[in-house]
Amino acid sequence: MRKSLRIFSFLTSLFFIVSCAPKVVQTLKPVGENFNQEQLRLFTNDTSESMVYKSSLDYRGKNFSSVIYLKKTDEHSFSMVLMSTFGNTMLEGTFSKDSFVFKNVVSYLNRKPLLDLIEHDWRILLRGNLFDARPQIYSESEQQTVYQFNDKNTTSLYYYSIGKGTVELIESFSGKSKKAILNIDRMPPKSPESISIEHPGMGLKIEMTRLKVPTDDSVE
Amino acid sequence: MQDTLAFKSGLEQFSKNTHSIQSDFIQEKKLKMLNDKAISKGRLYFKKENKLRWEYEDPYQYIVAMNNGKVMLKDEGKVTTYDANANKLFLELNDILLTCINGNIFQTKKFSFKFLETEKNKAVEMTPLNSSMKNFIDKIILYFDADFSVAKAEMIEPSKNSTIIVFKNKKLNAEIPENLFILN
Repeated sequence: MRKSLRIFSFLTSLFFIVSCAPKVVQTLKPVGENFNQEQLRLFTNDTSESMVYKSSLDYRGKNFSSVIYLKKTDEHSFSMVLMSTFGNTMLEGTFSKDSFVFKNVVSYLNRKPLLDLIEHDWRILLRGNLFDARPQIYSESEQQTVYQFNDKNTTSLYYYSIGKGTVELIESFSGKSKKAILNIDRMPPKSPESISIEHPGMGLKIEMTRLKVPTDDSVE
Repeated sequence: MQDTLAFKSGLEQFSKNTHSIQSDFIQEKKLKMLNDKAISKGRLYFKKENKLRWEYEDPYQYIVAMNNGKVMLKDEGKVTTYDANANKLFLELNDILLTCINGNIFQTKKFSFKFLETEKNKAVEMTPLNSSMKNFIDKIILYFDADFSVAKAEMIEPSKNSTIIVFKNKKLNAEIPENLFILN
């Protein structure tokens, strides 16, 4: 009786895992045990320099430009400043595995759905940098490895191209619906030059392009 | 500042006699949270009464032109036009920029003023009075050259991040083509 209960419980769990996982995961095979890559970090953990991106957001025919400064500020956290192209601060965020905190948010951006969306995207982007939990690793071919991260009801898949050293596609799933698609053009030791984020259900697209900021001049 | 009346009168004369300003600028924003600074450079054009072109050249190309109540943005080749009066943020921005550049600061009722004097410059500290502007600006300090043109503008945000814009290679009353204030 106890044995049949255990089998029933195992089969039920398997059914739930398989039925809730995105279809693509069901067709992937785990990589061998000799796979050395332990974690997938999209950004450098260098604390000395900010990564600067010009961001362009398209939503329902409207375009909004901004500048993003991102820096690893201590062992456990990254900080981000979102500024207008004129240079005024629109929001600041500090992200660690325990909390995503926003402050100094200008009133017209201080809307919960918007802040939730920003948090969602940065959680995916910084997952490998902030979280210790190792992803499940699959291999589609010798040229591509797929990392699967699970977070509550959301599964994220990172498609890592071994030869190119890039993450070409990240999909974040909640149940069966695709919440976000991200493309990252390169990986540490060099930080990404371009990142694109698409939210298919919302008609929202964000393009981030790395800026080479002038450092030789000072106003003083 | 000892003689505020003479200073005010000097600024009024400057505003009256100046029909156009061209200048390079360097903008430095101090980011307290990141212990870093963001530097950008560009060129500014102002033509009386209310035409302004604010052109960022480095590290990105971005142009804002304000022309008789219209605000035009050019970003990566795309031009977007707004009616400044229909957009509160642009209206405030338009007012602040024009006020700071043309030296006509005392006509506005949106700020309280405090007069300062440094080793190099006379300066005016402007504190916004209305709540929508207080949302993104704590105070603005304008530093003036001896000819009463703005040498440097410092904007302090409620977050205590600050932005300093230094104007260099200024040309006063030179001819500026009208088409610089129209983006297409």
